[in-house]
Amino acid sequence: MFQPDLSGERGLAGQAIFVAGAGSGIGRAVALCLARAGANLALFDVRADSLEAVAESIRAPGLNVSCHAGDVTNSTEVMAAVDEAVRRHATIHGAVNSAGVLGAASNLLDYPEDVYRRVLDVNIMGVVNCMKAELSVMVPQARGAIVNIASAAGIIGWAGFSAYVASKHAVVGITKTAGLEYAARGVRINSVCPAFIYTKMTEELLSQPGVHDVAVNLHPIGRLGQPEEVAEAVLWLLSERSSFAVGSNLVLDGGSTID
Amino acid sequence: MAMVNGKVALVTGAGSGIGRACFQLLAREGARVVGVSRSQSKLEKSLADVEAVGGTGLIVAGDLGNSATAAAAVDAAVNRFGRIDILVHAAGVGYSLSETLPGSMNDAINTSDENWREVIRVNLDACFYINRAVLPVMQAQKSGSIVNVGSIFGLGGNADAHAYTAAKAGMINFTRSLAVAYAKYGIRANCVAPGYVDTPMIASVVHVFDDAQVASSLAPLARPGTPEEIANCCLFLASDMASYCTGAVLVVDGGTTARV
Repeated sequence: MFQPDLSGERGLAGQAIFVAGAGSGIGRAVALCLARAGANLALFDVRADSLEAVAESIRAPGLNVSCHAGDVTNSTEVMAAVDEAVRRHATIHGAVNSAGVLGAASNLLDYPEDVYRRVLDVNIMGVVNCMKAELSVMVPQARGAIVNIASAAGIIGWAGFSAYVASKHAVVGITKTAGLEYAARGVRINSVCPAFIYTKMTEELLSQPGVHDVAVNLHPIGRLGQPEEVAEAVLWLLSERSSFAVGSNLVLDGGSTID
Repeated sequence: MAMVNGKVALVTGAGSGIGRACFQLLAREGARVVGVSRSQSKLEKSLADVEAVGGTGLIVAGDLGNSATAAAAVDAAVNRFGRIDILVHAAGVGYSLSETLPGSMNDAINTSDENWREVIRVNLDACFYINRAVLPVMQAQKSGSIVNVGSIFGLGGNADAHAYTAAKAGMINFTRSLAVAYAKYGIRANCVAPGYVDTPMIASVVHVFDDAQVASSLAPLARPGTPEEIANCCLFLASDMASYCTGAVLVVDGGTTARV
Protein backbone atom coordinates (compact mmCIF):
# COMPACT_ATOMS: atom_id res chain seq x y z
CA MET A 1 0.00 0.00 0.00
CA PHE A 2 1.34 3.40 -1.00
CA GLN A 3 2.21 5.58 1.99
CA PRO A 4 2.99 9.26 1.54
CA ASP A 5 5.05 11.13 4.14
CA LEU A 6 2.73 13.98 5.09
CA SER A 7 4.90 15.14 7.99
CA GLY A 8 6.66 17.79 5.94
CA GLU A 9 10.10 16.43 6.86
CA ARG A 10 11.09 16.03 3.23
CA GLY A 11 9.98 19.56 2.53
CA LEU A 12 7.15 19.14 0.04
CA ALA A 13 4.12 18.13 2.09
CA GLY A 14 1.07 20.04 0.92
CA GLN A 15 2.80 21.62 -2.07
CA ALA A 16 1.39 21.21 -5.57
CA ILE A 17 3.89 20.14 -8.22
CA PHE A 18 3.29 20.01 -11.97
CA VAL A 19 5.18 17.13 -13.60
CA ALA A 20 5.43 17.14 -17.40
CA GLY A 21 6.29 13.76 -18.91
CA ALA A 22 4.96 11.97 -15.83
CA GLY A 23 3.73 8.92 -17.74
CA SER A 24 7.03 7.08 -17.94
CA GLY A 25 10.74 6.99 -17.20
CA ILE A 26 12.27 9.72 -15.08
CA GLY A 27 9.01 11.72 -14.99
CA ARG A 28 7.18 8.73 -13.58
CA ALA A 29 9.88 8.10 -10.96
CA VAL A 30 9.76 11.80 -10.05
CA ALA A 31 5.98 11.61 -9.57
CA LEU A 32 6.34 8.60 -7.25
CA CYS A 33 9.17 10.17 -5.28
CA LEU A 34 7.37 13.51 -4.85
CA ALA A 35 4.18 11.74 -3.81
CA ARG A 36 6.12 9.79 -1.18
CA ALA A 37 7.45 13.17 0.04
CA GLY A 38 3.85 14.29 0.50
CA ALA A 39 3.43 16.56 -2.55
CA ASN A 40 0.14 16.96 -4.36
CA LEU A 41 0.64 16.33 -8.04
CA ALA A 42 -0.63 17.54 -11.39
CA LEU A 43 0.59 14.93 -13.86
CA PHE A 44 0.96 15.84 -17.52
CA ASP A 45 1.76 13.52 -20.41
CA VAL A 46 0.75 12.93 -24.00
CA ARG A 47 -0.36 9.39 -23.11
CA ALA A 48 -3.51 9.56 -20.98
CA ASP A 49 -3.49 5.84 -20.17
CA SER A 50 0.05 5.90 -18.74
CA LEU A 51 -0.87 8.92 -16.65
CA GLU A 52 -3.84 7.13 -15.12
CA ALA A 53 -1.65 4.14 -14.27
CA VAL A 54 0.88 6.36 -12.50
CA ALA A 55 -1.89 8.23 -10.68
CA GLU A 56 -3.49 4.96 -9.56
CA SER A 57 -0.24 3.81 -7.97
CA ILE A 58 0.08 6.92 -5.80
CA ARG A 59 -3.49 7.76 -4.83
CA ALA A 60 -3.70 7.86 -1.05
CA PRO A 61 -5.78 9.66 1.56
CA GLY A 62 -4.57 13.22 2.05
CA LEU A 63 -2.86 13.40 -1.33
CA ASN A 64 -4.39 15.18 -4.32
CA VAL A 65 -3.39 13.83 -7.72
CA SER A 66 -4.76 15.14 -11.00
CA CYS A 67 -4.10 13.97 -14.55
CA HIS A 68 -3.83 16.23 -17.56
CA ALA A 69 -3.35 14.81 -21.04
CA GLY A 70 -1.66 16.95 -23.64
CA ASP A 71 1.31 17.49 -25.91
CA VAL A 72 4.26 19.60 -24.68
CA THR A 73 4.85 20.86 -28.22
CA ASN A 74 1.41 22.48 -28.23
CA SER A 75 1.56 25.65 -26.10
CA THR A 76 -2.23 25.92 -25.94
CA GLU A 77 -2.57 22.42 -24.53
CA VAL A 78 0.21 23.04 -22.02
CA MET A 79 -1.35 26.31 -20.86
CA ALA A 80 -4.74 24.64 -20.55
CA ALA A 81 -3.24 21.86 -18.46
CA VAL A 82 -1.52 24.30 -16.11
CA ASP A 83 -4.75 26.33 -15.81
CA GLU A 84 -6.64 23.16 -14.98
CA ALA A 85 -3.95 22.16 -12.48
CA VAL A 86 -4.31 25.53 -10.76
CA ARG A 87 -8.08 25.06 -10.58
CA ARG A 88 -7.59 21.63 -8.99
CA HIS A 89 -4.79 22.51 -6.57
CA ALA A 90 -5.35 26.29 -6.04
CA THR A 91 -1.83 26.96 -7.37
CA ILE A 92 1.39 25.22 -8.33
CA HIS A 93 4.45 25.64 -6.13
CA GLY A 94 6.86 23.66 -8.25
CA ALA A 95 7.29 22.04 -11.63
CA VAL A 96 9.41 19.35 -13.24
CA ASN A 97 9.86 19.27 -16.99
CA SER A 98 10.75 15.73 -17.94
CA ALA A 99 9.15 15.13 -21.33
CA GLY A 100 11.75 14.23 -23.90
CA VAL A 101 12.63 12.01 -26.86
CA LEU A 102 15.93 10.49 -28.00
CA GLY A 103 15.36 10.74 -31.75
CA ALA A 104 17.28 8.77 -34.36
CA ALA A 105 20.66 7.08 -33.97
CA SER A 106 22.31 8.61 -37.00
CA ASN A 107 25.30 10.68 -37.97
CA LEU A 108 24.55 14.20 -39.09
CA LEU A 109 24.84 13.59 -42.85
CA ASP A 110 22.13 10.93 -42.76
CA TYR A 111 19.98 12.37 -39.98
CA PRO A 112 16.38 12.71 -41.25
CA GLU A 113 15.31 16.36 -41.11
CA ASP A 114 11.81 15.64 -39.87
CA VAL A 115 13.13 13.59 -36.94
CA TYR A 116 15.69 16.30 -36.14
CA ARG A 117 12.97 18.96 -36.02
CA ARG A 118 10.77 16.70 -33.90
CA VAL A 119 13.54 16.19 -31.31
CA LEU A 120 14.17 19.94 -31.08
CA ASP A 121 10.44 20.59 -30.89
CA VAL A 122 9.74 18.14 -28.04
CA ASN A 123 12.95 18.67 -26.06
CA ILE A 124 13.39 22.43 -26.48
CA MET A 125 10.00 23.92 -27.29
CA GLY A 126 8.38 21.43 -24.90
CA VAL A 127 10.46 22.83 -22.05
CA VAL A 128 9.87 26.41 -23.22
CA ASN A 129 6.10 25.90 -23.44
CA CYS A 130 6.01 24.28 -20.01
CA MET A 131 8.18 26.95 -18.39
CA LYS A 132 6.09 29.79 -19.83
CA ALA A 133 2.91 28.25 -18.47
CA GLU A 134 4.48 27.45 -15.10
CA LEU A 135 6.08 30.88 -14.74
CA SER A 136 2.76 32.55 -15.53
CA VAL A 137 1.53 31.09 -12.23
CA MET A 138 4.72 31.32 -10.18
CA VAL A 139 5.91 34.84 -11.00
CA PRO A 140 2.70 36.61 -9.82
CA GLN A 141 2.81 34.67 -6.54
CA ALA A 142 6.58 35.37 -6.26
CA ARG A 143 7.20 31.77 -5.34
CA GLY A 144 8.17 28.65 -7.21
CA ALA A 145 10.84 26.15 -8.14
CA ILE A 146 11.33 24.56 -11.55
CA VAL A 147 13.59 21.63 -12.37
CA ASN A 148 14.33 20.81 -15.99
CA ILE A 149 15.53 17.33 -16.90
CA ALA A 150 18.47 17.87 -19.24
CA SER A 151 21.04 15.13 -19.80
CA ALA A 152 24.76 14.36 -19.68
CA ALA A 153 24.31 14.99 -23.43
CA GLY A 154 23.66 18.59 -22.37
CA ILE A 155 27.32 19.05 -21.43
CA ILE A 156 29.24 16.68 -23.73
CA GLY A 157 29.00 15.37 -27.28
CA TRP A 158 27.53 11.97 -28.21
CA ALA A 159 28.28 10.63 -31.67
CA GLY A 160 25.12 9.57 -33.51
CA PHE A 161 22.72 11.68 -31.46
CA SER A 162 23.34 15.28 -32.50
CA ALA A 163 19.70 16.38 -32.31
CA TYR A 164 19.40 15.06 -28.78
CA VAL A 165 22.72 16.61 -27.77
CA ALA A 166 21.76 19.97 -29.31
CA SER A 167 18.39 19.93 -27.59
CA LYS A 168 19.82 19.09 -24.17
CA HIS A 169 22.55 21.74 -24.44
CA ALA A 170 19.66 24.12 -25.10
CA VAL A 171 17.84 22.99 -21.97
CA VAL A 172 20.94 23.71 -19.87
CA GLY A 173 21.23 27.17 -21.46
CA ILE A 174 17.55 28.01 -21.06
CA THR A 175 17.74 26.95 -17.41
CA LYS A 176 20.68 29.25 -16.70
CA THR A 177 19.08 32.18 -18.50
CA ALA A 178 15.61 31.81 -17.04
CA GLY A 179 17.28 31.21 -13.68
CA LEU A 180 18.81 34.66 -13.94
CA GLU A 181 15.64 36.27 -15.21
CA TYR A 182 13.41 35.07 -12.37
CA ALA A 183 15.76 34.62 -9.38
CA ALA A 184 14.90 38.01 -7.94
CA ARG A 185 11.20 37.33 -8.47
CA GLY A 186 11.08 34.31 -6.19
CA VAL A 187 11.33 31.49 -8.71
CA ARG A 188 14.37 29.21 -8.64
CA ILE A 189 15.13 27.32 -11.84
CA ASN A 190 17.71 24.52 -12.02
CA SER A 191 18.46 21.48 -14.14
CA VAL A 192 19.76 17.96 -13.70
CA CYS A 193 21.92 16.05 -16.17
CA PRO A 194 21.45 12.29 -15.88
CA ALA A 195 23.67 9.98 -17.90
CA PHE A 196 22.42 6.54 -18.97
CA ILE A 197 19.33 5.72 -16.93
CA TYR A 198 17.17 2.61 -17.27
CA THR A 199 14.00 4.06 -18.78
CA LYS A 200 11.61 3.42 -21.63
CA MET A 201 13.56 5.98 -23.68
CA THR A 202 16.87 4.10 -23.44
CA GLU A 203 15.38 0.60 -23.43
CA GLU A 204 15.57 0.00 -27.17
CA LEU A 205 19.11 1.37 -27.49
CA LEU A 206 20.36 -0.67 -24.53
CA SER A 207 18.80 -3.85 -25.88
CA GLN A 208 21.01 -3.80 -28.96
CA PRO A 209 23.91 -6.28 -28.89
CA GLY A 210 26.89 -5.03 -26.91
CA VAL A 211 25.46 -1.58 -26.20
CA HIS A 212 24.70 -2.24 -22.54
CA ASP A 213 28.26 -3.33 -21.73
CA VAL A 214 29.73 -0.37 -23.61
CA ALA A 215 27.40 1.96 -21.73
CA VAL A 216 28.31 0.48 -18.36
CA ASN A 217 32.02 0.86 -19.17
CA LEU A 218 31.50 4.59 -19.71
CA HIS A 219 30.48 4.93 -16.06
CA PRO A 220 33.27 4.74 -13.43
CA ILE A 221 30.62 3.76 -10.89
CA GLY A 222 30.34 0.49 -12.82
CA ARG A 223 26.62 0.54 -13.55
CA LEU A 224 23.87 2.61 -15.13
CA GLY A 225 21.47 4.74 -13.12
CA GLN A 226 17.93 4.15 -11.96
CA PRO A 227 15.20 6.75 -12.53
CA GLU A 228 14.63 6.84 -8.76
CA GLU A 229 18.16 8.21 -8.30
CA VAL A 230 17.35 11.13 -10.57
CA ALA A 231 14.05 11.66 -8.78
CA GLU A 232 15.84 12.14 -5.44
CA ALA A 233 17.93 14.95 -6.96
CA VAL A 234 14.80 16.57 -8.38
CA LEU A 235 13.09 16.40 -4.99
CA TRP A 236 16.09 18.09 -3.44
CA LEU A 237 16.16 20.88 -6.03
CA LEU A 238 12.42 21.51 -5.55
CA SER A 239 12.70 21.69 -1.77
CA GLU A 240 13.81 24.60 0.36
CA ARG A 241 16.94 22.62 1.16
CA SER A 242 18.37 23.93 -2.12
CA SER A 243 17.30 27.53 -1.49
CA PHE A 244 20.59 29.05 -2.77
CA ALA A 245 20.71 26.98 -5.99
CA VAL A 246 19.80 29.14 -9.00
CA GLY A 247 20.57 28.24 -12.60
CA SER A 248 22.59 25.29 -11.31
CA ASN A 249 23.06 22.14 -13.31
CA LEU A 250 23.39 19.01 -11.21
CA VAL A 251 25.20 16.25 -13.08
CA LEU A 252 24.11 12.72 -12.07
CA ASP A 253 26.20 10.50 -14.24
CA GLY A 254 28.09 7.91 -12.22
CA GLY A 255 31.25 9.80 -13.19
CA SER A 256 30.81 9.29 -16.93
CA THR A 257 31.41 12.88 -18.06
CA ILE A 258 34.47 13.52 -15.89
CA ASP A 259 37.02 12.78 -18.59
CA MET B 1 13.24 11.02 8.14
CA ALA B 2 16.92 11.24 9.07
CA MET B 3 18.99 11.30 5.89
CA VAL B 4 22.26 9.90 7.24
CA ASN B 5 21.03 7.83 10.15
CA GLY B 6 23.70 5.72 11.82
CA LYS B 7 26.50 6.96 9.56
CA VAL B 8 29.84 8.27 10.77
CA ALA B 9 30.79 11.63 9.29
CA LEU B 10 34.17 13.34 9.49
CA VAL B 11 33.79 17.09 9.03
CA THR B 12 36.74 19.46 8.67
CA GLY B 13 36.41 23.14 9.38
CA ALA B 14 33.79 22.21 11.98
CA GLY B 15 34.59 25.21 14.18
CA SER B 16 33.00 27.87 12.00
CA GLY B 17 31.19 28.78 8.80
CA ILE B 18 30.15 26.08 6.35
CA GLY B 19 32.01 23.31 8.19
CA ARG B 20 30.26 24.15 11.44
CA ALA B 21 26.86 24.13 9.69
CA CYS B 22 27.69 20.74 8.14
CA PHE B 23 28.72 19.37 11.54
CA GLN B 24 25.38 20.46 13.04
CA LEU B 25 23.21 19.34 10.13
CA LEU B 26 24.80 15.90 9.69
CA ALA B 27 24.37 15.29 13.43
CA ARG B 28 20.76 16.45 13.28
CA GLU B 29 20.17 14.04 10.38
CA GLY B 30 21.35 11.09 12.45
CA ALA B 31 25.11 10.87 11.88
CA ARG B 32 27.77 10.50 14.54
CA VAL B 33 30.11 13.36 13.78
CA VAL B 34 33.84 13.91 14.10
CA GLY B 35 34.83 17.57 13.88
CA VAL B 36 38.27 18.83 12.97
CA SER B 37 39.53 22.39 13.01
CA ARG B 38 42.38 24.50 14.27
CA SER B 39 40.55 26.02 17.23
CA GLN B 40 39.84 23.74 20.21
CA SER B 41 37.51 26.33 21.77
CA LYS B 42 35.37 26.71 18.63
CA LEU B 43 35.20 22.93 18.25
CA GLU B 44 34.06 22.59 21.84
CA LYS B 45 31.26 25.06 21.15
CA SER B 46 30.23 23.14 18.01
CA LEU B 47 30.21 19.85 19.89
CA ALA B 48 28.23 21.30 22.79
CA ASP B 49 25.57 22.45 20.31
CA VAL B 50 25.41 18.96 18.79
CA GLU B 51 25.16 17.27 22.19
CA ALA B 52 22.52 19.74 23.34
CA VAL B 53 20.13 18.31 20.76
CA GLY B 54 21.00 14.70 21.55
CA GLY B 55 23.74 14.19 18.97
CA THR B 56 26.96 12.23 19.36
CA GLY B 57 30.37 13.40 18.29
CA LEU B 58 34.01 13.96 19.04
CA ILE B 59 36.46 16.68 18.13
CA VAL B 60 40.10 16.79 17.08
CA ALA B 61 41.96 20.09 17.06
CA GLY B 62 44.87 20.61 14.70
CA ASP B 63 46.24 22.30 11.61
CA LEU B 64 44.98 20.35 8.59
CA GLY B 65 47.82 21.77 6.51
CA ASN B 66 49.98 19.22 8.34
CA SER B 67 49.39 15.63 7.33
CA ALA B 68 49.73 14.47 10.95
CA THR B 69 46.42 16.18 11.81
CA ALA B 70 44.59 14.26 9.10
CA ALA B 71 46.02 10.96 10.34
CA ALA B 72 45.13 11.78 13.94
CA ALA B 73 41.57 12.71 13.02
CA VAL B 74 41.01 9.52 11.03
CA ASP B 75 42.51 7.40 13.85
CA ALA B 76 40.28 9.09 16.41
CA ALA B 77 37.17 8.53 14.28
CA VAL B 78 37.93 4.87 13.63
CA ASN B 79 38.93 4.17 17.26
CA ARG B 80 35.71 5.66 18.57
CA PHE B 81 33.16 4.71 15.91
CA GLY B 82 34.80 1.90 13.93
CA ARG B 83 34.28 3.40 10.49
CA ILE B 84 33.96 6.57 8.37
CA ASP B 85 31.03 6.74 5.95
CA ILE B 86 31.19 10.41 5.06
CA LEU B 87 33.93 12.98 4.68
CA VAL B 88 32.92 16.61 4.33
CA HIS B 89 36.07 18.65 3.86
CA ALA B 90 35.04 22.24 4.43
CA ALA B 91 38.20 23.60 6.06
CA GLY B 92 39.83 26.38 4.13
CA VAL B 93 40.76 30.01 4.21
CA GLY B 94 39.81 32.85 1.92
CA TYR B 95 39.61 36.61 2.14
CA SER B 96 39.74 36.68 5.92
CA LEU B 97 43.28 35.30 5.75
CA SER B 98 44.52 38.66 4.49
CA GLU B 99 43.86 40.05 7.98
CA THR B 100 46.48 37.80 9.54
CA LEU B 101 48.59 37.30 6.43
CA PRO B 102 48.65 40.57 4.49
CA GLY B 103 48.93 40.10 0.72
CA SER B 104 47.71 36.49 0.73
CA MET B 105 44.66 37.34 -1.42
CA ASN B 106 46.59 39.35 -4.01
CA ASP B 107 47.04 38.91 -7.75
CA ALA B 108 50.01 36.97 -9.13
CA ILE B 109 52.49 39.84 -9.39
CA ASN B 110 51.85 40.83 -5.81
CA THR B 111 51.90 37.37 -4.25
CA SER B 112 55.06 36.42 -2.36
CA ASP B 113 56.48 32.90 -2.33
CA GLU B 114 55.50 32.55 1.32
CA ASN B 115 51.91 33.71 0.81
CA TRP B 116 51.42 31.45 -2.20
CA ARG B 117 52.68 28.43 -0.25
CA GLU B 118 50.56 29.17 2.81
CA VAL B 119 47.31 29.57 0.84
CA ILE B 120 48.00 26.40 -1.13
CA ARG B 121 48.99 24.56 2.05
CA VAL B 122 45.85 25.34 4.05
CA ASN B 123 43.48 24.85 1.11
CA LEU B 124 44.87 22.32 -1.37
CA ASP B 125 47.42 20.42 0.77
CA ALA B 126 44.83 20.05 3.52
CA CYS B 127 42.32 18.65 1.04
CA PHE B 128 44.88 16.11 -0.18
CA TYR B 129 45.95 15.06 3.32
CA ILE B 130 42.47 14.45 4.71
CA ASN B 131 41.22 12.65 1.60
CA ARG B 132 44.35 10.46 1.48
CA ALA B 133 43.88 9.56 5.13
CA VAL B 134 40.16 8.73 4.82
CA LEU B 135 40.26 6.78 1.54
CA PRO B 136 41.86 3.54 2.86
CA VAL B 137 39.14 3.33 5.51
CA MET B 138 36.41 3.71 2.91
CA GLN B 139 38.21 1.36 0.54
CA ALA B 140 38.27 -1.36 3.21
CA GLN B 141 34.55 -0.77 3.90
CA LYS B 142 33.84 -0.80 0.15
CA SER B 143 31.68 2.28 0.68
CA GLY B 144 31.97 5.96 1.38
CA SER B 145 30.92 9.39 0.26
CA ILE B 146 33.28 12.35 0.02
CA VAL B 147 32.23 15.96 -0.34
CA ASN B 148 34.98 18.51 -0.83
CA VAL B 149 33.90 22.12 -0.52
CA GLY B 150 35.42 24.05 -3.40
CA SER B 151 34.28 27.43 -4.62
CA ILE B 152 32.93 29.11 -7.74
CA PHE B 153 36.38 30.75 -7.75
CA GLY B 154 37.73 27.30 -8.57
CA LEU B 155 35.66 27.33 -11.77
CA GLY B 156 36.27 30.82 -13.11
CA GLY B 157 39.04 33.37 -12.97
CA ASN B 158 39.25 36.31 -10.62
CA ALA B 159 41.17 39.60 -10.58
CA ASP B 160 42.82 38.81 -7.25
CA ALA B 161 43.19 35.93 -4.78
CA HIS B 162 45.21 33.99 -7.34
CA ALA B 163 46.61 31.39 -4.93
CA TYR B 164 43.10 30.81 -3.61
CA THR B 165 41.56 30.36 -7.07
CA ALA B 166 44.37 27.96 -8.00
CA ALA B 167 43.87 25.95 -4.82
CA LYS B 168 40.10 25.69 -5.29
CA ALA B 169 40.44 24.68 -8.95
CA GLY B 170 42.97 22.08 -7.85
CA MET B 171 40.54 20.70 -5.27
CA ILE B 172 37.83 20.33 -7.89
CA ASN B 173 39.90 18.34 -10.36
CA PHE B 174 41.50 16.32 -7.56
CA THR B 175 37.97 15.32 -6.51
CA ARG B 176 37.08 14.29 -10.06
CA SER B 177 40.14 12.06 -10.16
CA LEU B 178 39.17 10.46 -6.85
CA ALA B 179 35.74 9.76 -8.35
CA VAL B 180 37.26 8.00 -11.34
CA ALA B 181 39.81 6.02 -9.35
CA TYR B 182 37.72 4.84 -6.42
CA ALA B 183 34.23 4.32 -7.87
CA LYS B 184 35.03 0.62 -8.05
CA TYR B 185 35.35 0.52 -4.26
CA GLY B 186 31.90 2.02 -3.80
CA ILE B 187 33.32 5.44 -2.98
CA ARG B 188 31.62 8.53 -4.39
CA ALA B 189 33.49 11.87 -4.47
CA ASN B 190 31.84 15.18 -5.33
CA CYS B 191 32.44 18.90 -4.93
CA VAL B 192 30.18 21.67 -3.80
CA ALA B 193 31.10 25.03 -5.32
CA PRO B 194 29.53 27.76 -3.20
CA GLY B 195 29.30 31.36 -4.31
CA TYR B 196 29.20 34.21 -1.78
CA VAL B 197 28.25 32.78 1.59
CA ASP B 198 27.86 34.75 4.80
CA THR B 199 30.63 33.16 6.86
CA PRO B 200 33.55 34.55 8.86
CA MET B 201 35.63 34.04 5.68
CA ILE B 202 33.96 37.02 3.99
CA ALA B 203 32.83 38.87 7.13
CA SER B 204 35.08 41.83 6.34
CA VAL B 205 33.51 42.38 2.91
CA VAL B 206 29.95 41.05 3.25
CA HIS B 207 28.59 44.58 3.82
CA VAL B 208 28.76 45.15 0.04
CA PHE B 209 25.47 43.22 -0.12
CA ASP B 210 23.82 46.12 1.76
CA ASP B 211 23.66 48.02 -1.55
CA ALA B 212 20.78 46.48 -3.51
CA GLN B 213 22.35 47.18 -6.90
CA VAL B 214 25.70 45.72 -5.92
CA ALA B 215 23.93 42.77 -4.33
CA SER B 216 22.05 41.81 -7.48
CA SER B 217 25.20 42.23 -9.56
CA LEU B 218 27.00 39.77 -7.28
CA ALA B 219 24.18 37.21 -7.14
CA PRO B 220 20.77 37.28 -8.86
CA LEU B 221 19.17 36.25 -5.55
CA ALA B 222 20.60 39.58 -4.28
CA ARG B 223 21.89 38.15 -1.02
CA PRO B 224 24.75 35.97 0.16
CA GLY B 225 23.95 32.34 0.92
CA THR B 226 23.83 31.03 4.46
CA PRO B 227 26.18 28.34 5.77
CA GLU B 228 23.10 26.17 6.34
CA GLU B 229 22.17 26.37 2.65
CA ILE B 230 25.60 25.06 1.68
CA ALA B 231 25.43 22.42 4.41
CA ASN B 232 22.21 21.16 2.85
CA CYS B 233 24.05 20.65 -0.45
CA CYS B 234 26.80 18.74 1.34
CA LEU B 235 24.19 16.64 3.13
CA PHE B 236 22.48 15.82 -0.15
CA LEU B 237 25.72 14.75 -1.87
CA ALA B 238 26.88 12.84 1.21
CA SER B 239 23.61 10.94 1.53
CA ASP B 240 22.24 8.02 -0.44
CA MET B 241 19.88 10.48 -2.18
CA ALA B 242 22.84 11.25 -4.45
CA SER B 243 23.74 7.60 -5.09
CA TYR B 244 24.42 8.16 -8.81
CA CYS B 245 26.41 11.37 -8.33
CA THR B 246 30.14 11.04 -8.46
CA GLY B 247 32.70 13.48 -9.85
CA ALA B 248 30.01 16.15 -9.96
CA VAL B 249 30.51 19.80 -9.08
CA LEU B 250 27.35 21.22 -7.56
CA VAL B 251 27.32 24.98 -7.97
CA VAL B 252 25.26 26.72 -5.28
CA ASP B 253 25.70 30.42 -5.72
CA GLY B 254 22.36 32.19 -5.91
CA GLY B 255 22.89 32.45 -9.67
CA THR B 256 26.27 34.22 -9.67
CA THR B 257 27.85 31.99 -12.31
CA ALA B 258 24.72 31.46 -14.40
CA ARG B 259 25.45 34.92 -15.80
CA VAL B 260 28.14 35.42 -18.40
